[in-house]
Parts: sequence; C-alpha cells; structure tokens
Amino acid sequence: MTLLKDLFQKKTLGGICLVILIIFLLLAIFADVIVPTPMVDGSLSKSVKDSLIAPFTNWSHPLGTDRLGQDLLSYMIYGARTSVILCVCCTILSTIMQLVIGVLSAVFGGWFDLIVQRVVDAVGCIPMMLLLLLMMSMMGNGIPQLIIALAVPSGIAGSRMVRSAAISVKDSGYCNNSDLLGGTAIWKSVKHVVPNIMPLIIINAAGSLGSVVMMEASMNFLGYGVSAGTPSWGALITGQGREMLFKAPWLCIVPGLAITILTFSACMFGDAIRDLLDPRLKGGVGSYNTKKLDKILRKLDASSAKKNKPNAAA
Amino acid sequence: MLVNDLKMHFPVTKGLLRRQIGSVKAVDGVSFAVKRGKTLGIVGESGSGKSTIGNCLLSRLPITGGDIMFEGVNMRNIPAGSMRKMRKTLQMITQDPFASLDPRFTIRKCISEGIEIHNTISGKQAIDEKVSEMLNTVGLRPEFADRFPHEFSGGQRQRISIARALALQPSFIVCDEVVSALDVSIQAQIVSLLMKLQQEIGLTYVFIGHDLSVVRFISHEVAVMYLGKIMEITSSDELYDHPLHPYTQALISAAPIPNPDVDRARERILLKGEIPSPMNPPKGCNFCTRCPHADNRCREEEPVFADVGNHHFVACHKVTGR
Repeated sequence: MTLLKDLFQKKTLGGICLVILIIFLLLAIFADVIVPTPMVDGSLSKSVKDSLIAPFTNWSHPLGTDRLGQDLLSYMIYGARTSVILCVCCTILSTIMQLVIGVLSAVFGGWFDLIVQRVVDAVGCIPMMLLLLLMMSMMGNGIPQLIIALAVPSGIAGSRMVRSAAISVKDSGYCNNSDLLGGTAIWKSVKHVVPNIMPLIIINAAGSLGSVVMMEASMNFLGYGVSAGTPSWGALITGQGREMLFKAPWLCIVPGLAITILTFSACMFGDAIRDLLDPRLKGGVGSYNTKKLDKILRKLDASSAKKNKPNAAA
Repeated sequence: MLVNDLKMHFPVTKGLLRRQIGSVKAVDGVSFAVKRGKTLGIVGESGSGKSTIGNCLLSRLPITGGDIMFEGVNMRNIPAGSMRKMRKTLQMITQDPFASLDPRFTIRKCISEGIEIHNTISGKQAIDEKVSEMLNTVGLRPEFADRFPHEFSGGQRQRISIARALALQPSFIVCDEVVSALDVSIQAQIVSLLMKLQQEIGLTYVFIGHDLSVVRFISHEVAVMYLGKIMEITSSDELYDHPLHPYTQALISAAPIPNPDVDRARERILLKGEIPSPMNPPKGCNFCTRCPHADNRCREEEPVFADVGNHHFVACHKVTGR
C-alpha cells in the first residue's frame, strides 16, 4: 500500500501510467458492456453505406469506420480484449520463464548451466517466425495457444540476459555471506538474486510489451493468429490499415496510437516501480519534492526581504 | 579446533580436455590448534594462503588433504546438509563491509537472515528483540534496524556484519582481514569490540590479517605463513619479542615503530624479490630463495617444524640447528 502511495506522490507520471494501464485492462474485460455498437454473433455490424467515415466527422462513429463499415471505436475496444490481454499474459509468462531458467542456470552453474545454455543457444538458432509457425500449427489457433507460442521462445531466448545478471549477483559478497550463514541455493535465489536483478527484468518486460502486439499481428497476417474476424489492433494495422494507408490513414493511426500508449505506459510504470523498489534511490532524484524545496526557498526569500527592508530605508 | 596437515591444492588445467598440468599449493601441510576462548592470529604476505585456510576451516573449499577437528567432529568431507547446520557454530566475518550486505535488505533483515535460515528463533517479535539486542551488542542504536546498508559508514557496516555473524550464537569465528578495509580509528573500534565479545561470550577466533600490530594486539598465539606453510608459531608476545625465523624477523622489521628514534636506530632486514609461485615452490625450505642466511642445506632439505622450547615452533635449519 505504501508502494502505491509512493507511486502517486513521488512518481506521478508512473501513477498516471498505471491508471492508463488499468483503464486499458478494464476496457478489455468489460468490452461487451462499454462498446457503442456491440457484436452480434461474434462480429460487428457492417454496412457498405457507412464505410470509411473519417474520425470526428460523424458522432455516431466517433473514431470513424473501416472499409467494411465497422465502427472503429467498438473495434478498438474489442481489439483491446485480444491485444491487451494477450500482451499482458504473454509478457508475464515469458518473464517468469526467463527468471526461472536464467536464475537456476546461474545459481546451480556447472554442468546444469552448460546444458541449459546450449539448449538456449539451439533455440536461439531457429528463426523466431519459423518456431512460432511450428508451434502454432502443432497447437492450433486460439488465444491461449498464441500466448504460449509467443511467450515460450522469447522466454527461453531472454533467459540468457537474466542468467548473466544473476551470475554477477551470485558472486557478490552478500550472496557468499548468505552461503556462510547456511543458506541453500533456493534461499539465495529467492532472497538475494531475484530482488537484485528485478530492475533489469521490469524494464525488459515493459519494453517487450509493444513488440508482442506486432508479433500477434504478423501471426494474424500469416493466418496463424486469433481466428479470422476477431478484432485485434495488430490485425487492423497489418490488414486494412496497410492497404488503405493513404486513403484512410486513421485505420493505422488509431491502433498505432493505442499500441504506443500501451507500451509507453508500461515502460514508465516499470521505470517508476524500479526506482521505488531501489532503497538507494527511494523515489529517485526528482522526488526530492521540488514543491517543498520551493516553499522553503520562498520563505527564506521573504524573511531576507523583511530584514533588508529596514536597512534600505535607513 | 585442531588442524592437522591441512592441504589445499587447486588444480591448474589446460586445453579442451582439462588436462591437469599442475597444481597451486595454496596451503601445503599446515597444522595448528586453537584453544576454546582464545585467538589465533595468522599473518603473512599476500598470496601466502591465509584466506585459503580461513575458507578451508569453514569447509567452503573441498580440502585436498589433512583433517580439521572441531569439537570432536572431523569436518573433512562432511556432507553439505550437516555442514549447513554447523554454520550455526562456525561463522566468518569477511573483509569488505561494502560488498557483504545486500543493498535491498534492511539492517533488520541482514541480521536476522541466519536466524531465518536456521529457524533458531520463531515469531516476528522475538526476532525483532534479538536484532535490537545484537545491534546493542555491537554498539549501534536499535533504531537503525529499519535503515538500509548504504546509509552506513564502513565501520558501522563491519559492525553490522559482526552482528549478523553473532546472531546465530556461534562459538568459533574466522575473521578474514576484518579491519583491512577500514581506517585506523575504526580498526581500533572493531578490534576492541571483538576482544570485548570474546571476554563476554567466550568466542574462539582465527584472526587473519597482514597488519602485524593489530594481530599482536588481539591474538594469544600467532602463526606466520609463507607460501602455504607455517614458518613459525608461538604466543604473540614471544613471537614479537624473540622472532626466530628469518622471515618473521624480516616481517617484524618491516613494520614501522611509532617511535622515530627507535625506528631509525634498528637494523632493517630487507627481503629481495617476490614470493615464488605456489605452483612451483622451491626445493628444500620454501623461504630459501629470499632468505639472507640460506645455504646449500636449506636449498636441498625441507626443515622440520620443531619445538625450540617455551612452546615456540619454528621451521628453520638455522634455528633448530639439526
């Protein structure tokens, strides 16, 4: 709770970004209740008459419509369901995988490390796209399958970075001391290694959020994504958006902006959390409450002005 | 604690197949005894194997040969699980107080880490009381418990390390160069703290250091190491007043004396060259390459570690005269 309080007081930008992220998630979860024109039988209403209305020109379609006459606002809200949930789940899953593989590999070391790292190398050799296609064709289409297919390869590949950070923590004085106190490898990993590599993991996870949306879009393009017709931001950009880039640029701009805001919020939120978790920064440089400092300075100014006045008069 | 013929050789490997081409004899046949409630000082220049002994005593390294007996238990090749339990009684304080505390732990968590690992005390309140007690013991205010390590100075951090080691109520502590990283006034604080604790709780120390005066101050017995071997071992006053081994004499003459008149008047023994590689120690006496008195016998025959009376052991042909 104090962390949340600190987030809003000391890292206001991070707090705002958390609110944005929560709004996005709520939009995704309560899509059916919120949208202006709900889906009927799994698809949005289409009408040729309404196709390609530009945003802000027709108030029954605030964000305009696409080529098929689907309301873009409704499409975006339904798309959040695919994109945001996919993004968040995928990032969480791949981060957990990175952590487990990387930390265990670093802490146990020796033969275990050698074998695990060669497997990681081998997975890294296979082109990402090929691996995704292989996994998707084995598991079939659907959101859970897509989450696994996108998370597992990046989880394995990213574990190398976690491992290298974990090794440097593992060999530090305090880890050796934990050893001296009788701590087991698991104790050391959970108590010392993971908390100390957390900043790296948070930043990495936040940064990879955006790329997941685009990965999902390209999977969609290849026919391996969510089932055709399901709204998703990525699909909108790579599908209609690209074809009609000049005729109807909003089809690209609107979902593009949404992805940007999502990624930016995640990055800023991650950044704020990282700073707050570090006792050496404890709120960071900017947190030294410039408002308070201003107040003190103003007080000082006022008192010195008072002192100076009689002198000037005399 | 009894140490008999302790050997620690690190293999040196080469090539893809890890062919062993030699070994670094970091500690090569060291024997000594530490009595309960007493302090053994170990001195020697860099690379003489002092810290390796400390790590061997706590089974942090798989020793090559010899035995370490502690309270009737032979610690050689003791299983990792029971060693972990032994950590309650055997503790170590390390050299660098800036690296040894986790920056993300509060002081409370730092000190109670051992307690939580071994579950010696249960209940949050009991642990908090223990932490306050430990902080009091090392002369820090109990309110410091909620601060983070970066808010403390080197001397304070070293005291926190001591509190952490003491929280498990050990009976034996290896102090590996605990004061080397600190400035002189704080060195005195830490050393007197250690001595006070010894008197109160009856701790046994192995005090590793290279500052001769500090080691003399705290130790009851002092061992002088050179190239993985003990050259001389005796009570600390005897060693400093009547050093017999040429290496000890050189070491003591190299340390400055606070009185400039005495300092200028005395004879200095300057050692030439550097400590030879422990991979390839000289034949005969280990010290023969730099000894001012070395003769042919020293270069051929290894001296025996012998008692010259008054509980004073030396490994030198010239002294033992046999």
